[in-house]
Amino acid sequence: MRKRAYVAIALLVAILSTVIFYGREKLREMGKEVVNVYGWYGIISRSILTEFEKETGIRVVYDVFDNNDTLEAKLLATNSGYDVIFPSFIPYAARQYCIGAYIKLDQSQLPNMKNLETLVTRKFRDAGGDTDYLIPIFWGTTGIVYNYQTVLEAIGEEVTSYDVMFDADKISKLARYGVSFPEEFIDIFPQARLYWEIEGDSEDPSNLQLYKKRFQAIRQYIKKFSSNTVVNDLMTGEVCIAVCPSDNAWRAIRAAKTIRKDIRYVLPEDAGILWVDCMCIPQGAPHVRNAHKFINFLLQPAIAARITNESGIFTNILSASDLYSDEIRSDSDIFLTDARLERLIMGNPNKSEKDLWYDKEASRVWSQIRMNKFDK
Amino acid sequence: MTKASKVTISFMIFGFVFLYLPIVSLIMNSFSESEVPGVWTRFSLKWFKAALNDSDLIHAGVTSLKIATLSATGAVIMGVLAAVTTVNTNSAYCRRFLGNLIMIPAIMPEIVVGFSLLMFFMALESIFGIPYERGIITVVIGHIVTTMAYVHMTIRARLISFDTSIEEVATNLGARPFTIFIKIKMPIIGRSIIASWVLAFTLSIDDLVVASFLTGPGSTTLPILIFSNVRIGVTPVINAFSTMFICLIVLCGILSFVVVSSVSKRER
Repeated sequence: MRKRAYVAIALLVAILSTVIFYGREKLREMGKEVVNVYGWYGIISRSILTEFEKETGIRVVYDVFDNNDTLEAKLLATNSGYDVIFPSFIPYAARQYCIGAYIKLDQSQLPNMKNLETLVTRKFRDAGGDTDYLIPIFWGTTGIVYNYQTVLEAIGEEVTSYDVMFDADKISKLARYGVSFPEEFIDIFPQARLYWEIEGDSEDPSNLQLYKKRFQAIRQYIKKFSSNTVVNDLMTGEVCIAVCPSDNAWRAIRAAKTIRKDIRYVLPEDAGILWVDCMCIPQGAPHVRNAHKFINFLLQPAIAARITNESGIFTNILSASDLYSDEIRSDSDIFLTDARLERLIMGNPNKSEKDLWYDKEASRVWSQIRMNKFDK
Repeated sequence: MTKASKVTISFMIFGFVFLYLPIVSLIMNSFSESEVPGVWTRFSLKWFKAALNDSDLIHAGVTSLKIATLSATGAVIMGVLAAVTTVNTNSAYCRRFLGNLIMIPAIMPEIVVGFSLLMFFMALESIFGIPYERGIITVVIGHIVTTMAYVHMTIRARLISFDTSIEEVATNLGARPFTIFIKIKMPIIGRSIIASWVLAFTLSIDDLVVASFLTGPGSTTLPILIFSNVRIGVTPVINAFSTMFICLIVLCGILSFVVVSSVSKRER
């Protein structure tokens, strides 16, 4: 009998100590101000978060996601528990906005919103972005990143247009060095439409068969479809050319310099695509006031410029560009003049039922292309 | 003992090289000074320093360890109880049907388990208001669901081979079921328990799919962090951190081996 009592006591002690050990942190957090942030890895560095913590006394819990689908799954699952999130505008934030996933921002708590009146914001509004709900904080372009030496040897010229990706002659010469395309249709169909001059409304479903037909000619030369591994693939020589967002391209260029590789980024004039990442507060956010403080903090030019200098992603803040490092400003295809910026094209966010249907169809067609399934 | 032929030995060497070369290359690369993983320039410890200063990385590592210990312990407790029940029962229905039912989460694709658990927690939340947020606890529950089947399998295999007449003798001599469980069964399945705990721990610590559905604020695990990091190009910091992680786990492995072998020596 006594032994059994010992066992019971031991078990009780074990359970209690576990609860205390793991609950301690929770207890410590109770009554303390926090803000839960969900963003991409490596955009906002720890030192910036620490500065915010010092300034306001609010602790930042920063979690990372690897793609927008994970974010969307969590966001739509009733209560994600996050206060500030960073979805891409098209198509994610645009459709999440339509179904009322975000709360209206309180402008009186965001005095730094005045810094947002830029060219990109204007384009964002033209495309249907509502700055009362979504703040177009980050932006960049989508272009071609390539290993200069290898591509020069293979096709005998520098890359200036999407010929190298979409022209069967040129891409076939690059095939054995590796060509990489994006994982999602949204990152490539706009360029394809402009390059092949696919007529008609961009949301016309009958176009999709045209995309399929055009891609059939070049599918055999594409080595992989990946958005996440471009930087590493270029470093290791797995691929020599890829369609890639400008911030990742900038990371690749910077890393390549340390191993004396010449990697370059070009924003072809025939299809300059602009993308925007938003910052917003989801419905049901537990710390709305702190979220506003965090957003207001990031809207300062000095902070915005630091984010850009560290990560290569552009922050859409007035006069922040004066504080960019020379390293970024010197690359004319990454740091754009206002005239070139003006010419950039932003896709249409989808709003109606029909558009959502188009998105589904397009991603189905794109996966058929990826899996090399074409009708004979 | 017959002498192994050269062919068998070379097969064995090939097998071990196949298993360990990637890990060795990861460890080697963590000592390189270069910014780009996989490119050797010169020896340096700077990435280890950077890894130790990276509070997000450390936090994710600690979160992963917490989740793994909690879920392995939970899975072992529930798996042992389940195995004892499915082996001991007299009803064939219970033995066959329930035994197989427990296996299902292991057979199902992880993504199905992860997503259905997310749906389940959502439903719970809308009806009862708990769990209010997803976090470490929900991930632990998810991992218990997926790893319990493996624990059950390991323990059941041990229990089936165990001679039930010992138990009958004990019953004859007046032992109550609880005493039998503590005094007879536990020593016999003791080592299987340790083995299945380690198995559950390993499965939990490298799980990405279930965790990415069930995490909430402040519970980013190490695999999620590394996977998100790939987008901007893996930095050697990850290599260095992984090296330290491997060393820790090897150390734990050696320790548990020493403990187990000293215990079994004493038993003899």
